Amino acid sequence: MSAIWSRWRPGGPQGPIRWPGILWLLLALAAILAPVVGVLLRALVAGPAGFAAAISAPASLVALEISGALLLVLLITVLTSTWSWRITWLYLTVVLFLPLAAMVLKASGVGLASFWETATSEEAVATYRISFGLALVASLLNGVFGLVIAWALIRCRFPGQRLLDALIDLPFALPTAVAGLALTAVYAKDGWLGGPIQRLFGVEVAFSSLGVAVAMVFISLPFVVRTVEPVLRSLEKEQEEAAWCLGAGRGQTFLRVVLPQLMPAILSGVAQGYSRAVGEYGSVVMISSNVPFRDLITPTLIVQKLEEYDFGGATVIGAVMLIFSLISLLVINLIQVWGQWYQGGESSA
Amino acid sequence: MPPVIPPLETLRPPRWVKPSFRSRLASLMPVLIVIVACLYVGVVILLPAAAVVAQAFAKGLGPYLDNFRSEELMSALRLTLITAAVAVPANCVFGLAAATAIARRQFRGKALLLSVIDLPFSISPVVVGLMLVLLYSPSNGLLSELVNSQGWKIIFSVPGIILATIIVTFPFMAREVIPLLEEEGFDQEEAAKTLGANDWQVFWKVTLPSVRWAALYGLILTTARSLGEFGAVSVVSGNISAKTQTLPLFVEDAYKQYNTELAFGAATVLGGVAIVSLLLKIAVERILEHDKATLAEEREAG
Repeated sequence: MSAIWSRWRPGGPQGPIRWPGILWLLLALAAILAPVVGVLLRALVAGPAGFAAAISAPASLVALEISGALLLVLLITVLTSTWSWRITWLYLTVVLFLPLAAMVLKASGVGLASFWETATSEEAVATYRISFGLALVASLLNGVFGLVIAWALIRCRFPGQRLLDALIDLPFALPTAVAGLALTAVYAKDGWLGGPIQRLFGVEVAFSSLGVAVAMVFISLPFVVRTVEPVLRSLEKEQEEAAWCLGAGRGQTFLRVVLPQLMPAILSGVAQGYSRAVGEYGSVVMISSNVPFRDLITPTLIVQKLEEYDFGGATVIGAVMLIFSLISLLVINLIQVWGQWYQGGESSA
Repeated sequence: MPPVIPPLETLRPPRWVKPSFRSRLASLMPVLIVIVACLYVGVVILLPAAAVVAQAFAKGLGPYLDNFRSEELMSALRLTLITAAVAVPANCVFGLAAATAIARRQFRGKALLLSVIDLPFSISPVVVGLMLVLLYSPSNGLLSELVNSQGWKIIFSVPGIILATIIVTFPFMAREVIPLLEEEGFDQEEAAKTLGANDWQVFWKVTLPSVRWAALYGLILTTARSLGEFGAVSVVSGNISAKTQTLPLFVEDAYKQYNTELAFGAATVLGGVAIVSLLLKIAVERILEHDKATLAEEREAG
């Protein structure tokens, strides 16, 4: 206990109290606990029925939560003395926190039962299957080929290497609408690749789920290459030579010495690419025919619902996507922490 | 006389040992890797990019230039430039302020704050647009009363487009400048302060020059993305031709209306911007790497 309190009294038991730190803690506690206390109070006052009502329509409680959080931000802004902090907090509030708050509030206003109903409706589940499934295929494919490309860029010397290096960044730089137009032009029936593929295999690439997958591959290719490159460059060739000297074959050396060290970077790249591919809209909307149950992705479903003025439905699906992005952000951070720990452990051993 | 031992690298198996199939395969591996890498990038990236140029100039230079007489295309271009002209400076101010505020301090929640700043990269652009609609829409928004009473037009209008662009692009600047500031340390600023400079002078004359290349790098990324943003803008803009249509929206709309030539013409403009920004990025990257190397050397020497 004393260890915790020493943070608020850095000068010892008789020293001055650091008020901003305590305010932080109290405000955070209040913001977190307010809705919980509210729900419990209702349960006490109105019995089980009131409790159920509070759970199914927690909008007012979430409103309390969000206004508490915004109040917190405002207080920090006032408490912090420098202009750089004030600009940072105010800008973040207007640009990020307010829209996020609107999203959370509107989603919680829907009510738990109808939220679940809309989020798991047949139409929505079909789009999840297409979005999340095809993004998985695309990012895994890029995991394999991204490793090959990074290997070629770092370990090999060949003419046109700089061009290849520059081309990798093109999906980041090219506006997604142009990417969609370009992919549609190439993979449509009369395109350079779409025609031959249709003649050979009898499948249509553009305006089908295959086209959606192609767009997702395009958009998520740079992630794996750019995360693997620095790790591959920092690998010491001596380790591989030592493995060869100890009698390991090339395949064994790669599988047991090189690949485990690259794994955190590959996974991080795949996760980033996956997250990007799931959220991608501009290029996919152009190459897909946007037919439900066939190649309609979740972001396009949100747009369609908005065009039909179905704000509630759009909000629910949007909230599902938002939750997914938060989870994926967490996973990516965890993978990166793991990678640093892995490398740190290696160098200290 | 001591025996002369040749260095290990020059030792090769004698000529008369026929290489096995496996060792031939092993020596072919790098070639194979390069071929696979080039083929994959060629099919996925290079061919589509080339197709845009080929389609745009399919009928020669004259018809291509005629595209730019289109009133809709020009007004879309104008709106795109206006959007970038507002969004980019605003994001620069935020990025530099956030970097100077966050980079040199250690506090609990620093990692959390950094991931909050990175959040727009992981949220789908469509969801970003949706959030703005749910906040400012006059019929359904959270602030609809305020918006209606003040008579603001935000959704389906230019302010909404600018706001959406800002949200999608604001992390670039901070994320490029923060790591560099963290590496540079506080010494020079402290020296300037002891010599009597005020905060503003320290920022303009010491901090900003020391991060100028990273800031330029962030500026290039911000500009490129704000010129090309599609998803978030398409949700809030309403896509009214010649009024709230930015150039990327125009590309999609023209293509859907079977105005293929116009679509490819506009796409080459955006593609050209992308390639220029890519080249600038590579140039600045090289300067940044050089700077970082000299910084590391100085630290080793000191």
